[in-house]
Amino acid sequence: MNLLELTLGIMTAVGGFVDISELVFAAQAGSSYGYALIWVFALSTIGIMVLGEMSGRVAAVAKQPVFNLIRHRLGLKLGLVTLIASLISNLITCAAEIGGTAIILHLLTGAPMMLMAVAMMVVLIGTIWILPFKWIERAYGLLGLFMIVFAVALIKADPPWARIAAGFVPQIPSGLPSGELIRFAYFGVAIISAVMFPYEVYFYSSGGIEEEWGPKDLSINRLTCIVGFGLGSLLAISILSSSAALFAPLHVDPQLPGSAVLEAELPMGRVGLLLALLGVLFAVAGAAIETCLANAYSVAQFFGWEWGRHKKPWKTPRFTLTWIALFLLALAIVLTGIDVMKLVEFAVLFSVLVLPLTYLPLLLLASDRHFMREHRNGALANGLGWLYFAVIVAAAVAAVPLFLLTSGGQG
Amino acid sequence: MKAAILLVLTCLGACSSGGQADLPAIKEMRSAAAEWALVNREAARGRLTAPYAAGMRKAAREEIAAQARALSAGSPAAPVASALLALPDDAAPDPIARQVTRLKQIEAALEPA
Repeated sequence: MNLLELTLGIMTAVGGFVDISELVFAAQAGSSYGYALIWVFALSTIGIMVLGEMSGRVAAVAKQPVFNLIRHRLGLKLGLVTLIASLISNLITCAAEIGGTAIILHLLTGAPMMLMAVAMMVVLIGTIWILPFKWIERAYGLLGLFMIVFAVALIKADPPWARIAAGFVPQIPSGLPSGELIRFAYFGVAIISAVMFPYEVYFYSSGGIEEEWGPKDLSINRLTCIVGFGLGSLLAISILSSSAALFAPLHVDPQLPGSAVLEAELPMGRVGLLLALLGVLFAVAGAAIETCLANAYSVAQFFGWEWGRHKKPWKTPRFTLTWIALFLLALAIVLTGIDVMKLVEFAVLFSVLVLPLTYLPLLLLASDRHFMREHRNGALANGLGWLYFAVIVAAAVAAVPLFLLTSGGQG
Repeated sequence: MKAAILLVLTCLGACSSGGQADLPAIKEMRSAAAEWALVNREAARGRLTAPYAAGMRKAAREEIAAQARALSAGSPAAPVASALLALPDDAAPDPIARQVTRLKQIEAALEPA
């Protein structure tokens, strides 16, 4: 096992873990419910570890990206429904990420947000066009490590560690009025959706095919998912915990996309503010690339087109045109002036609806003796896989009623 | 029977169109104002960059104005919104924080048990 490759893979997974949805929901969850939703982050992180590892293993052994499986296992009609739903979900998510980067650039430079959205789009398209696949992912993942400032800030803020530790135990806060209980449930579903976004699996498994993984890479795959996602999740939990410790006493439920960085500024001053702004910028920009490429991968795999960034863009013309068109569509959504926070809410709602249809074919193939041979799911992977499938089905069923009852988490 | 149904519908209408229907807007307004007060406190201590402080103030005021427009006629939060919007961008944090406290009290009064 190449230690450098492993370290870079893990660091990329850490830096790329938090996106705009996790940032928003972690900060709001902390200020609204203290440490009581940490366990949902922990639960969802184990879920994305299990399903991410499975998708990487299927890519390495069966050489099957997720949307090939979806078409073959669900059939053309249900596959097409899944494709359309995931396209909508990823497109909204991509628009939210681009809007998020535009806001951060606006806060860094003072330049108009719409201009920054266009500039960011040019940078993102240039990045995908110029860099080889491995460095597209790594560049933003590694720069996203500036997000570690949130963990350092939490330590400096000296929060009540015992209460944070208690937050890992599943709980529902006592004494909440009925409306707040429903909102608490909505936040739980939103966190599951934000941590287990389907685009992460599409991108991760397609990346495995791009990098020509084989059975020899299974250990790196497992360690990247467990250690990388685990450490990445700790950053999200740091954001939640700092919000509980610093924002809740001031009656701040971060409604503005630039608020979360104050968590680093309050204990660390201007340096903390700048590092947090840079961390969020790179992490969210990386997520914008992942969502856009995930969509292009899905379409190309579903229709059997040539795809992949390991080939020159003009060698895969339909794939290339698809990701450029999707970026432009996402930019068009941002340029309408729609509130980025609303986009984030819609992104998590659509994503949770797509989740079961994404994971079912993956689970079925990962357990298939014919395709996976000795690398098929063992009892633990199968048990956890079906347990998490049940969790995401329950979350998907509850999502729309909770969204409507809480007006998208507003109360 | 018709009268009873009408009465129930009227009550439901009154509940949802009045006080409690304003609750989400009041909460968002309170949070935006609290964020504005925090930004101004930190800016006064020289810990924020100028573009960040200006961007956050503008976003907070826009949010307060948007939520004020969503309030029903005669909402107790309307005068608080007006008081907030009358303050300058770089107002001292204390006057903003006082309005945050008023909004929090209105929220508490409207919150169902």
